[in-house]
Amino acid sequence: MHTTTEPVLRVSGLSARIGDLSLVRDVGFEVHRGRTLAVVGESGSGKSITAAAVMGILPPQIKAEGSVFFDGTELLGEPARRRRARGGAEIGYVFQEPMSALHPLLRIGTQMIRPLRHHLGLSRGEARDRALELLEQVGLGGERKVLDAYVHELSGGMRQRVMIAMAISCGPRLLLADEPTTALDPTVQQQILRLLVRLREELDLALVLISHDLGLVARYSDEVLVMYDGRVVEQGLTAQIIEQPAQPYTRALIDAAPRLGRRVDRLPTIDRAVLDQTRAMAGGV
Amino acid sequence: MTNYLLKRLGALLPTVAVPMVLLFVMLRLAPGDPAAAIAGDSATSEEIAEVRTRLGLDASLWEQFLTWLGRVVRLDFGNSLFADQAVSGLVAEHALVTVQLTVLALAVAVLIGPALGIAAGTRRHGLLDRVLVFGSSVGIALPSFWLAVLLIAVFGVVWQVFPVAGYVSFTEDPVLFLHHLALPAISLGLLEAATLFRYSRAGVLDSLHQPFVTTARSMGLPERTVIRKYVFRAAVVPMVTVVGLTTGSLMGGAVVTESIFSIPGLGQLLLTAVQRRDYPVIEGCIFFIAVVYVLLNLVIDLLYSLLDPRIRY
Repeated sequence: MHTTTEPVLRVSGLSARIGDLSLVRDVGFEVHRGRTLAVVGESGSGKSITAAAVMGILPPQIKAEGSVFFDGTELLGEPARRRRARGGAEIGYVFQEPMSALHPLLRIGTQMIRPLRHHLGLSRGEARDRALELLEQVGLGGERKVLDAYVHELSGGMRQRVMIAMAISCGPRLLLADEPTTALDPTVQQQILRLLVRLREELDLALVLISHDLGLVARYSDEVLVMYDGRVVEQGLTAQIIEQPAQPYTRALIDAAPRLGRRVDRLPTIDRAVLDQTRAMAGGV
Repeated sequence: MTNYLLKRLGALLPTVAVPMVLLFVMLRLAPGDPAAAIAGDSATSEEIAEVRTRLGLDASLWEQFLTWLGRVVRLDFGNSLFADQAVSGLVAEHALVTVQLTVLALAVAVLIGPALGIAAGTRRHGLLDRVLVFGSSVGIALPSFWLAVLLIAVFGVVWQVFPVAGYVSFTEDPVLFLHHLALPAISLGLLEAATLFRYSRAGVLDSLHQPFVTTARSMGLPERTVIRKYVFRAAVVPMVTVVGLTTGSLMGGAVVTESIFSIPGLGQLLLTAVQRRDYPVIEGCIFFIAVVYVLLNLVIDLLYSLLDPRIRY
């Protein structure tokens, strides 16, 4: 949209199904280097499935179809081994729950060092030095002890910083962050989002930020993709969509976010009629 | 940690005391008279009474209990009523054999069970998995003595590669020692391997889809590394408990296996002692087994904290 260069990631006509049940239908979007795309929707809207399909970590019973075009290569249909090898090295993934996404019985250092050695061929000592640099980059500098710690010994924010350090450790061009702040305190949420955006700039990454909270990610994204019931409801530049949402569903999603300083007795909910209309509209595409 | 150890060792006392007291009461309530057995078939009732007095078995149950208690707290179990040998020496000598057999059987179980469990768990619903699951069901259902007899028939009688009975001590000849204990250890260990197989397979299946394993995959690590370093590491912790329980049941199973293969272990000692109502020997055997059980449990709990950094005492 803002640039004529090839996007890092172009997804088109992406569908995912489990047996006869359709989870994601005809999703398409592009992300460029140095840009952030926010994928927004409520639980079950298919945003995490979309990210997992791009990453190639869908559970085996879920089948994806369509096109995931990454850096000049079609990823869907690529042999599993090739696909796996791209993880970490070309595409990084930040999970929602760092507590369960990090191994409970292995030291942080061990978990960070292994991919570094595998992808970059570093020696144990080099990988350890690199891991320390990475920790510094995500704001855990001077926390030498983090490498020797176990995940249960870290705070929620520290865990997610470690997770992010690991995701960027092997030089990916695309970073997928699946609800990276949902498990965190509101103040820490902002810190983590700022960190992700800073890293996107420093490393010239394409960033996909998945969230159920449009209000939260609006400030940190360039473009927004709104999903409902496995389909794209609306997409475009973030500023435009926040100003003038084309769809009543998007408007309702913006209004549903609680705001500081605005007293309400009941949090707004999304009208049934809007949902039905959205489903009909999206299905008709 | 030191506190915890002291507490656990302190708990050892009641845990061993309860079965010991129960045993004392049950032995005296059970029918059978050691005095009659010692005096022989042709003894007159006067002669039997004389033996009974000599053994102190004519005193009241309370008196006997207090004398017994006085000796047991000093870990003095006295002499066998039949062989003129100290119980401590008898138990030590036979326990050594049983411990050796148990360790060998455990080695068989630990070498086979978990390895096959991983192989089957990572190839779920494959041919290997289905064959092994079926085999382990058979293994869990079979009694060890049946397998022992089968092994004797095949490898002892038909092919005659292993001796059918007997025991040679390790210090005497290590090769013959292994040769004699091979069949008993396999018949005991193979069936426990079936149990270990079940648990390790379930553990692997459970860990395979844990989020931290997905993370390792998302970082592009090869599946082999993921299985070996991430999946197995998580699956191994609960298996420590199973191995502990297995060791316990192996010692129990050894009693039967020893009598089939005529191995002079604790099981044989205990069996003969029970048949002859040799009270001191029975008490010595049970005391040893109880202490081993309690210590085994302690070792498992300590291993647990070693393997899982979230557990600290």
